[in-house]
Amino acid sequence: MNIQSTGMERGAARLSLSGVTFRYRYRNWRQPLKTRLGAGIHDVDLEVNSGSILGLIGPNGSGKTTLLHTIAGLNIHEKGDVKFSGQDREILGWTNAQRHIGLMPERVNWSGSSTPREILARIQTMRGEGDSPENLLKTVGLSNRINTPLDNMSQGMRQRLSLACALLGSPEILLLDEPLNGLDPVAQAAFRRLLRELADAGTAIIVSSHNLHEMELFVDSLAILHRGQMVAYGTLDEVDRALGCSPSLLIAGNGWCPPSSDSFGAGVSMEIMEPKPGEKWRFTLHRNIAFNSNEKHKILTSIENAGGEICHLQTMFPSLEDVLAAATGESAETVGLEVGNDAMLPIKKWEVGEDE
Amino acid sequence: MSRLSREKRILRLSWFEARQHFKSPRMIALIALLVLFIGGGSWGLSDPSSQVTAQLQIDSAYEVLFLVSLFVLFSSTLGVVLLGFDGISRKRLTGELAIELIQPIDRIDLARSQLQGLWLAVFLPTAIACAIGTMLIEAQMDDWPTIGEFVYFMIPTGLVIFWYACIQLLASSVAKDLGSSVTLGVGVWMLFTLVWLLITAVLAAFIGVDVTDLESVEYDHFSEMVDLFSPNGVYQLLLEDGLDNESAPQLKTAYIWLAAIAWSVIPSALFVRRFKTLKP
Repeated sequence: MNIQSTGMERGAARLSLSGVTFRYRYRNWRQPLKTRLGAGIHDVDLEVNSGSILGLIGPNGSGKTTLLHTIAGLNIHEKGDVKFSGQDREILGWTNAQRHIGLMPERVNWSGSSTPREILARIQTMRGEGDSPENLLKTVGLSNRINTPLDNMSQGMRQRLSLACALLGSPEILLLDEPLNGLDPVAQAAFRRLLRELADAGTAIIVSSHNLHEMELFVDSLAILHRGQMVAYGTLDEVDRALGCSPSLLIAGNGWCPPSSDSFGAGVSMEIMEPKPGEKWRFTLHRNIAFNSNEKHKILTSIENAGGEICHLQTMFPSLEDVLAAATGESAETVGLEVGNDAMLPIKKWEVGEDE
Repeated sequence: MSRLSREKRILRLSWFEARQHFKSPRMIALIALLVLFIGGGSWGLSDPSSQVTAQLQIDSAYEVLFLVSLFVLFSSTLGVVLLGFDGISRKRLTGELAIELIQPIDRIDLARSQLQGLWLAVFLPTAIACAIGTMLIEAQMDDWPTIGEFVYFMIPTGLVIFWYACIQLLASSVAKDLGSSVTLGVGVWMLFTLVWLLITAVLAAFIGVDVTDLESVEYDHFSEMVDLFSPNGVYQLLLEDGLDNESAPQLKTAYIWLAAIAWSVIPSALFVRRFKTLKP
């Protein structure tokens, strides 16, 4: 693996957003001089430090891609500030600002008879850099596909090529839009390891996903977007504590069954699903903060010592719906996943469809 | 970045773009078109035993080249449509456009490289086909066009390919899906190549020019004026301007070149302007 250090002091704020607002504008063919304001992102505050991975989660249409594109300069924000290492992106200028950024868009469908080597050489030329792309292709696991036509590559290989494009020039901020889509579990694990290595080398990384479970495996902090607004933001523990949405423990077994949660410590609630003491039983344990491995071990030992036999232990992650419901105060049914034109609309007060 | 290295970077990117087109299966269709139209046209029109129409007197190799320009117009501009109709929209649909647009390069430079790449991909095979056509003419007529005549023929040919490249990429940048790209690309080509004659006749009738005699001086002059608004028309006028006095257009050379400059500047400026605000 050949990952270059960004030369950035670990922990320093690499990217900061304050009050960033952007809304799409649509032309109305009947009234060509007017633009219709559509969905977007509203008043987003965010800070990503060098060496950390931020997970951006939210349902479809919540504004994750819009936010990533706004940071990348593809959308021009109307309000707020985007700063790279404390410097405003407008002051840095387009070319200098873009050198800080690497973007991996969602599911790039690379096609044609070009090869990964040619694609990288072209992007390198755009960046004005002349390093050999071989090392980069090795880093993303495409070293033996350097001259394979794009048409002959699988979706997983295409994802790796997109990552290689994002890594060109060793950018200090890496924006990855649903990077694990299309990757098999083995490739996903390798991908997560690679991201951690990049972060350890000083890169600030933002990864978007709608899968909370896969995020918890490798991110340092979480930002939850819903209808274009940030509804929760912080480290995993902070978000868990704030929303009370930590993972539950599902335990199943035979023999003795604990009658209540009292023996598992304060703040633990218990839901017995198959209450057949003396035979088979199954229950879940929940607490505002996730159980760590020591606590899990203690719980299992206490059951076994009392005569119970554990058959199954599973960590149950909350669904995105549950998290959003907790974050917005709406019910899981209301918060829904229905996506429409006004999907990014307001929990706060702004209106879609107003004319300018 | 110095001016020289900037130009060098644009040229390298243009070459990457052109090479992608050269390797695409569509290039086979373009080469077939060029061989059939330019090669076939040069061979057939220069055959001393053939009589195209009673009105056409072919006396020199340049006059054959001039007639071959009709086939160049048909095949090369169709080639630009073939290669360029989805030049931007395909990248947008696949997601490649987002990767290109975030790179630390001026959008104007990126737009220029797209334009030059498409132009190069069509102009190079066209120039080769024209050179081979000239050899075929020599084989049939035992007469070469002068180097000056050949260069004079290739300049408007390069220009008309450039104009179509601008129009196609502009249309492709507007289109949001492949269907719209095809419709816009082929539609614009059909407008200037097939429908323009009809538009000219309708306009002439509308303003009172006699359209029952298409050979009349009045109609001829009117159609030349209307042709200034069509890339094909300007191409033909530029080439006619190189013929002897009898066949030369009635319009002043300056007007024709002014129209050529306008066709070179306006669509390319519109494309660059559109590219600067392009969203993936």
